[in-house]
Amino acid sequence: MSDPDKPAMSREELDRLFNTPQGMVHDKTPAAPAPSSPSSPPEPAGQGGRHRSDHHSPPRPSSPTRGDLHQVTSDLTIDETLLLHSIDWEPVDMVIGASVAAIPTMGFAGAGWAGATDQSAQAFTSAVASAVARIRDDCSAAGGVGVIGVDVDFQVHRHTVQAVLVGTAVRPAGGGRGGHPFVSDLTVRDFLLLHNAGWEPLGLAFGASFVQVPYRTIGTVFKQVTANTEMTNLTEAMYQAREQGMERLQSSAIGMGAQGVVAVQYSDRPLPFASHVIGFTSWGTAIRLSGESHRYVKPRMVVAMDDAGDLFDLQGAMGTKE
Amino acid sequence: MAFTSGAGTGGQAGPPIDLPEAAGRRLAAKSFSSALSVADFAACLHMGMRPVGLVQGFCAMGWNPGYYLPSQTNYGNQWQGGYGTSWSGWGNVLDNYYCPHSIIASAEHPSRGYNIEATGIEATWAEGYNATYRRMLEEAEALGAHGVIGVTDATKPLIGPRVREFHLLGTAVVMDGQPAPDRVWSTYLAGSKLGKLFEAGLAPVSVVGAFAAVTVLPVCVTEIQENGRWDTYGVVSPYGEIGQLSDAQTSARRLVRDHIKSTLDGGALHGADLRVSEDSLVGRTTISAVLRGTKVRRVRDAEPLPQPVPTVRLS
Amino acid sequence: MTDTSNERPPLPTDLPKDAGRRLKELENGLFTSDLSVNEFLLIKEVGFHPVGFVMGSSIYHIGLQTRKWGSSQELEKLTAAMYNARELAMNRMEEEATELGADGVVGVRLDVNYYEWGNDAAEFIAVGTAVKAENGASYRNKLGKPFTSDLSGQDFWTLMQTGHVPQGLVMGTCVYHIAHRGLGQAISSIGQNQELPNFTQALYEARELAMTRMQDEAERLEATGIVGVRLEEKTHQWGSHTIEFLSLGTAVVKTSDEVTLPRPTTIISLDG
Repeated sequence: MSDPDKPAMSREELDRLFNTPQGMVHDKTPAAPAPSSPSSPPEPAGQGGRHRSDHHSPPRPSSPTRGDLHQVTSDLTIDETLLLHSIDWEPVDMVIGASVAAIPTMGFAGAGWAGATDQSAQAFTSAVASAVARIRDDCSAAGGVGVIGVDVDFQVHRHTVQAVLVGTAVRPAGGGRGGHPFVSDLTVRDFLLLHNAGWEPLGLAFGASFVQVPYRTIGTVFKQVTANTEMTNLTEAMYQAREQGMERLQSSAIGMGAQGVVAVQYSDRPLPFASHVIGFTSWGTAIRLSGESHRYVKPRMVVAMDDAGDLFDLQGAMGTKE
Repeated sequence: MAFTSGAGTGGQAGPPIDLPEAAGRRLAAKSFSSALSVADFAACLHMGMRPVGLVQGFCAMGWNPGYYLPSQTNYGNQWQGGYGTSWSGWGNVLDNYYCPHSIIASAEHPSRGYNIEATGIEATWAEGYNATYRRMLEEAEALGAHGVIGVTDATKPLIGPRVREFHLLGTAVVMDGQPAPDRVWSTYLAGSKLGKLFEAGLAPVSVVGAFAAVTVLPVCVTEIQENGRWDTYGVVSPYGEIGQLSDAQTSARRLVRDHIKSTLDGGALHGADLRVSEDSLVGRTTISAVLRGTKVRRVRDAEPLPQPVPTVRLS
Repeated sequence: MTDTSNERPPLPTDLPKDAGRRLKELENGLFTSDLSVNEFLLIKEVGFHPVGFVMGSSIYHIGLQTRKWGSSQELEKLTAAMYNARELAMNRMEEEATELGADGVVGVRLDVNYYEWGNDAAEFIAVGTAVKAENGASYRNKLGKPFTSDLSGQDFWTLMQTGHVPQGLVMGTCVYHIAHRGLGQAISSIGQNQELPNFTQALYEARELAMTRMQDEAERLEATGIVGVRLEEKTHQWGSHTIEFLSLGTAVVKTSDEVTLPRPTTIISLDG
């Protein structure tokens, strides 16, 4: 790896890769029993290739520890797979949790009913909590110790809010502790960097709040037509709601015993059914020190010759020019 | 000049009969074409792979999910009836939901709800994808290729929603000096990404795709919550989770994962790409999920990569 | 074929006068280009120097061709129009590059613009940066013209490391009319979920035709192959049943067996 003159992979190695009959490499280990087949009948929804799959003897899984990819479905990129391997972790499966919660409109019918905004925030929180619980169950069932790279997708419909989490269950190669799996939207790269710096993810911190923006009275509108003046009541309402959303995010992180929240994302948009109601949602990964203290990464400075942002990919593709 | 071997095999064998006539002429040409970017092309040569031609498969399928629907007469009652409802051709019942109120069922107050896997349309999808995949592979074989890299999948509605086109496009490659594999392998990856896959000790087997669809026939409480109404019987909280919809959203995604697993034969799926869409099918919400990726197999133990050098860009 | 005499040949007649004046100004050493600084440095790295920004344009009236409602067919007249118009724009760009004594044009972009003032007319434009080898060797293609390619500076650098040289931007196009489904067909197959062989055949054929034509162009340049093929589908202004399939790529020729790509270093970027 460190020898700059050595090609990425010798011809011989490649020859071997492509011409080793399947099943020869891992002959030392007996075939492990297949995991229990999916509960649904195997519908022919799959891909082509099966029309000739009889050319191949059934493959044997490799050693049950490192590198066992038996039936793994992973949405990681190859870079992410390699990075995960470099800290001796492995992907286990793609895991899923989705939840839909109701937001009734009636609560907003009478202007100024503060209760409704609170309960809508609760609906949001309950959708997230349930989606997290489902993805956690899926992760435990797959044998992972945590889920990373979670794609967090919120959709607010007219009467419902939907939270969908899709991520990759991972574990240290060959198993790892059981217990309560963590759920994190960190990418593998971020996970690795944090891991090397001595931190571990705990879970998804989440906060939502809703605010009903006060209507301005005719008198106020009239007075403000020509003046440059802060619309203090609006400022106050929006400011207050943002603070509340962030506060809920923080308290959910504190509830997990976190020392910090990284990569907080933030969205604010009016609800589709009530333009005067703004929903604030924020989420991020709660983390805590796993070692005694923070370990420093000393980065090297580089000047990139590509115009694209994705340095890792491009370096791989083009090589660095000394 | 070595880029000629595609012509020999392609010319002699001729294209398989279900490929269009122009395909034969194109595949017999002396020069290759490739959809690879230059970076991928370079990495591909570096790995000892020689592009021999662009290969594609295509199939247009009639697409009418409602075709499999059980008789639509007496709509409400039949679905609510439970016993005797014929789901054959339409799908499997994944979950049942019951009315929590002690009142008599009616068309306005469905006492049973179902989440149904629409197996009929799933089979249609599989047929289209398989035909497309097979044709792409036939083109690759006509070129004497060993593998197809950088496959792209452009499956979309064609001229309205009733027709769906399946289209796969990739670059066929030959590994000079190597015997042809038993069957042509294929992958969505190309270039350095493919190189890194080999470095990870994995080899591509084939591109795979799967499709799952779940239709929601809502029970009364689902309808109430979904439409933002209050439960006049006071049984369900208007702010709570809508169990039936949560289950449907979750199971559509898990089903497509299970479907793809059933095609893996013990291999692994790399680089899974999940796309979910929701539409109204005969007036009922249907959640469709498509999952794609490259089926890979392990050919040697993975040696962990040395830790990469952390860098900060000076620009 | 390459012009070596000191006497300037007259400007090709189909270039506007201003083009001549603009190109003449560039002879004193100034260059213009739409290359980024990175691309500029990489092009210098492989021994080329940008000589000027070049373009070609053609406003073309696209004729009419009747389509049979119920049958799938290629619309040859429209295919020819789309093809000729692009060819004209490309030729003019090449002529500008020739004026500058360039060896080739990189970063070529081909665009089609429609304007409100012209029904059935479209402007076809080709723009790119002309480059010239610094060591005086000729990199012109087999037809004695400057090569053209849609490669970026980075791609150009990478391609040169693999022992390949671009020969020309090659394209193939096919305008195809897809049959509406007839009444009888509609009744028998609507609502069924099965393959529609007529559609499959028509669209498959159209794409293959476009790709075959592109390949024919590459063969004319005696290229070893085409890299970076893109297959585009456009309906332009013809309605949803008439589609142009356009395939575009850069034809390359192999000049050396040596692949001089250095071994990449694995890095992890902290840039976010």
